[in-house]
Amino acid sequence: MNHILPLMVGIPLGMAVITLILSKIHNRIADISATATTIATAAMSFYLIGTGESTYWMGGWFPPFGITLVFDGLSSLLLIIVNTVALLSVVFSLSYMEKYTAKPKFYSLFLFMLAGMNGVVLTGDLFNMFVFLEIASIASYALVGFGVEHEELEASFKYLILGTVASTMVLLGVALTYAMTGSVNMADVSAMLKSFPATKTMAFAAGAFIMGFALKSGLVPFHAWLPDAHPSAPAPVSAMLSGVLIKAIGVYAMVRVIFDVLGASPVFLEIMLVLGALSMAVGGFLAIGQWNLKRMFAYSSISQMGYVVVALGLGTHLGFIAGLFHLFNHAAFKSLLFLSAGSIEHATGTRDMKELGGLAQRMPVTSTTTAIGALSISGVPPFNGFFSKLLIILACVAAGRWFLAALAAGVGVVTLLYFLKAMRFSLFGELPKALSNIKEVPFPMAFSVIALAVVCLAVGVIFLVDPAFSDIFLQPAAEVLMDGLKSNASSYIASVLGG
Amino acid sequence: MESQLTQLILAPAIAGFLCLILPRVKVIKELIAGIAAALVLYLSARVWSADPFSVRFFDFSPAGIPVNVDFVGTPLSLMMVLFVGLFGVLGVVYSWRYRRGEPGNHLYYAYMLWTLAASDLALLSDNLLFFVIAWELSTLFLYALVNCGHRNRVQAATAGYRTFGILGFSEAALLLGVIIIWTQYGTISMASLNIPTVGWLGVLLYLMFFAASAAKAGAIPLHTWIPSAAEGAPTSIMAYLPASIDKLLGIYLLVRISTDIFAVTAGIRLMVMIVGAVTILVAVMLALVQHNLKKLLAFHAVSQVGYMVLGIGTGTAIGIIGGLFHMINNALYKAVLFYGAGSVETQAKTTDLEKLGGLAKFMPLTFVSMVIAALAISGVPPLNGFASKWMIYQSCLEAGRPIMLIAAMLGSALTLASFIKVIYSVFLGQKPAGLPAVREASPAITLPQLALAILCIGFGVFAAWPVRTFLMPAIGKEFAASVVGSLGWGGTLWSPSLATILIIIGLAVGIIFYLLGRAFKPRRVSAYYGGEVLPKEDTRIPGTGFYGTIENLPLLKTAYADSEKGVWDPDYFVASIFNGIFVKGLKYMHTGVLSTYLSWSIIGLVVIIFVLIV
Repeated sequence: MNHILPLMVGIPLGMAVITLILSKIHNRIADISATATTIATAAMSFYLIGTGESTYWMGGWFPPFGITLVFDGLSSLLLIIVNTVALLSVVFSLSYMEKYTAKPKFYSLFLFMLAGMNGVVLTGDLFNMFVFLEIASIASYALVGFGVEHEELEASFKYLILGTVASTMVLLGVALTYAMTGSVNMADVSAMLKSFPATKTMAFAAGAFIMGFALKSGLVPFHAWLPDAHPSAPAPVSAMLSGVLIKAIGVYAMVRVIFDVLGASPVFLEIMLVLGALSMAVGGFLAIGQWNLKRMFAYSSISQMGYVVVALGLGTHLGFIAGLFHLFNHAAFKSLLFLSAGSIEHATGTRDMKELGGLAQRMPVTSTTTAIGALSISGVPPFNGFFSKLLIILACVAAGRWFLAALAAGVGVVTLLYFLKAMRFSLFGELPKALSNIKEVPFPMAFSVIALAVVCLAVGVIFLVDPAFSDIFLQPAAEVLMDGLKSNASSYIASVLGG
Repeated sequence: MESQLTQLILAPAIAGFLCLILPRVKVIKELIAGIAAALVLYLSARVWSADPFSVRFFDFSPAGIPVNVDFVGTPLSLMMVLFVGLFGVLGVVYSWRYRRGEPGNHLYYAYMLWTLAASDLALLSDNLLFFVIAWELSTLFLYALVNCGHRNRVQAATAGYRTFGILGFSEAALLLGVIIIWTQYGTISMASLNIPTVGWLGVLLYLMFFAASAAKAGAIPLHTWIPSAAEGAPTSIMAYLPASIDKLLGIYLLVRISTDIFAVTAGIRLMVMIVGAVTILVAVMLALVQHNLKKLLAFHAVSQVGYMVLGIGTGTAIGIIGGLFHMINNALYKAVLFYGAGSVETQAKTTDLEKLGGLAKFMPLTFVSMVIAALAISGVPPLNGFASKWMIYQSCLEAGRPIMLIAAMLGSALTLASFIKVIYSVFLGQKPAGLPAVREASPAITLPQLALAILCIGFGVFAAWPVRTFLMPAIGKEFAASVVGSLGWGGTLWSPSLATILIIIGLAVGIIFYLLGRAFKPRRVSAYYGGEVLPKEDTRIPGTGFYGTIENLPLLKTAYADSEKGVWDPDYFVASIFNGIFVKGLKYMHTGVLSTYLSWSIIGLVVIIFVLIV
């Protein structure tokens, strides 16, 4: 029994309500309580590193009857990503959200979303996963429309409709699974599925799961909501959506269900490869044509999620390491980019690249961090993105997937091109006359982007020189996925159900 | 040895950080940069004069893949390191004056020094992965340096975009090549590789590496970033990176892949030679019609790469030595030319050939050094450009490709033609009325420039010395000995004594004629037109019209017009196809209509379930 696990979900969930109530006393209290909450969850996520696999039975109900929270290497990696980015986004919001009214409501929704993500990452119960998924999703629908302008509401509506279709599919999958096995405990279901032959109903359920999670991760052809929703949200929410939400309730949930519940058969991996390859290419080509900074970053998220899913879908140890490393890196540089875009918008009032230019002259901090984010995601050494892309291409070649390796390298060039375009038209060149009075952003915003930029640089260098990084963060998570490849009883089942 | 190597890489890296973080007081950055560059040159010379070595820095295994990081000083790479050090000092010294008082100099010098560290790392690492990382770092710093251009920011931004775009493409190919080698051959140590270029995989791998070296050095069709950069980048950077250090890196990789990483077949050699010959001719034809001094020089920078590629492509010892020698010579005279162009730009505020003229009177030192460099680049004996081109001509014959010889010689003639236009337009004729008052550039610029010009003469007249000291050891004693053995030293390396005497005689005769002319003073009258004295300005003949005939030849006319618009630039070409098919097509599909998006999702779901059930 690990008593920190319920706190990871409970603290943000409770504080989401308390923050709203306390803010009636004074608005500033909301700032403090939201920051304190995210500091607490981030600290706990780091405290949990290396504690090994552990479980918690909610209400003392032992599995398979009660809800189980399961912590392993994969959850650990995701918790660190989710809670660190959440902390930095909240710090960024301290100044950024001043221009919106109802800041406490923002924090409240934000914490609901955080609780939902932590819940999805930790839960060992299929129906419970659906519930947390909905908490995170519904909070994110509201956050996307937080600006309540025409554009935001339209984006939020599209996101709501498509997101609900996905949630319904996940629920359908849960229902069918329950009908077939009589259990919703993931380990229990997995053990039962391994013992009886595959049925068409289960295949249908699997299809529903995959579609639902693929839509939440923004994979092509389920991606259409993403380029509207992610740019419309306030910058710290965009950073959360693109940086972690699509990973936690999308890729993570898909991988957890495929590897630990359904069993990673070749056909599932093949579907992941196809979805990933499509996303990689389509997202990249769409990003080139964009002139809206945040919209370009959103398309780029689709493309980068494609890399992650392709790497994980290879089903090799190297592929898992590469994919998880890229997932980690993408969280760092994409939230950095969205926050930087937020800083640019905060200072200039626009995110249209045609109206920007020459910001390097007036906003040295923001320009440097934007450039670092752009170079990281384009795979330029010594930044972190280079190493994860290198490993992904290496894993593709090692698995004999030559076409995917060439595609990954080619889309890498495309990525470089559109980020060069972003830098060319926003950071360099002549400063437009209208922007001659812009100032650098206030300290909390600068702090968040600098912290993420340091992560982008440091992780690249550390990964290269110190194998401990990979051993602590990536290996345990990759082991979980390797475990899912086995056809007989896995250690996941053993650790949850106690052998 | 290990400590010297560490110092060689760390000294410029740390000095760069110092430039970045130290308070921005007066000359502190310049001083640090100067000391660091001098230190690098000193250490490079120490390392170069020592014996070849191999040092293992560390073993590590990211993600469970063992990687040995070896630093190997082969004679070739050590020679390159030496010249990187030399160009580093030159670049920093020139920048002192050129960049004085410009904003952002702390970044500028930091990037310059980091470029030195990255280049040395690339030249010394035996591990291909480290090689790629260092190689890409040098591209990154080039990008950053190009964006340091403050005179025309928009062009600088575009130049940076294009530079990184093309180099990034070639580097992705290089990286993919390295990864394929890693998985197929199980090692990425350069020394232990000798991949035969037979079968599709071998050829493909060679092409990936060749693309990277060609893009870095600037051979056609991956050359377009150099003319773009010339328009926007600071001139000091043009002389520092694209004209010197990038050439060193590109040619270094080309020599490595043509001699030891791959076992090259005759077909591949022919392909490389054709790329070289085409580069020479196309780039010089484009240079001929340029009206902007910096852009014209940039096209010549491309054209000269053709000679190096051609020489190395022959695969003969004389060709490789000639190619390397030409690389060094090119860096020397190209530095003089770019520095001169920079001085002209600083003084006259323009590099447009039509607006320039008659500067020889005001800038005599710049004029003299640029004339020497122009003759050197055109391959006029007894200057250094001729000495190396002569070796390349020889190698074409030895490889049995006389047609390449013709292309190379034609290229030389056209280069001369182009530089006659430059010298006339900038320095001779009459000074246009619109030009501001022009003074000679500061001695901090003209003296290094003159020194380099003298070096151009020295490397030509005494060509045997650099060839014996730097180049023959660099490609291996046995291999180099075949030069002496097979052809005889006298026939291969041009013997300058007779020609020098003849040229001196020729010059003497010329001087006598000139003095004779002075003896009988001609009568000077003003030009009359319709009974009116023409203003001096109207009798000025700008040099840009010299090759108007060529520009207007039936077929070339459209080709030139298209190339001016960028239609022939491969990156433009590819980009427009991709834009048309993928980007526009995909954007067209994204209508923003919710029901369309919903139907995609449903179709996707149906397909997935179909695949799973059937």
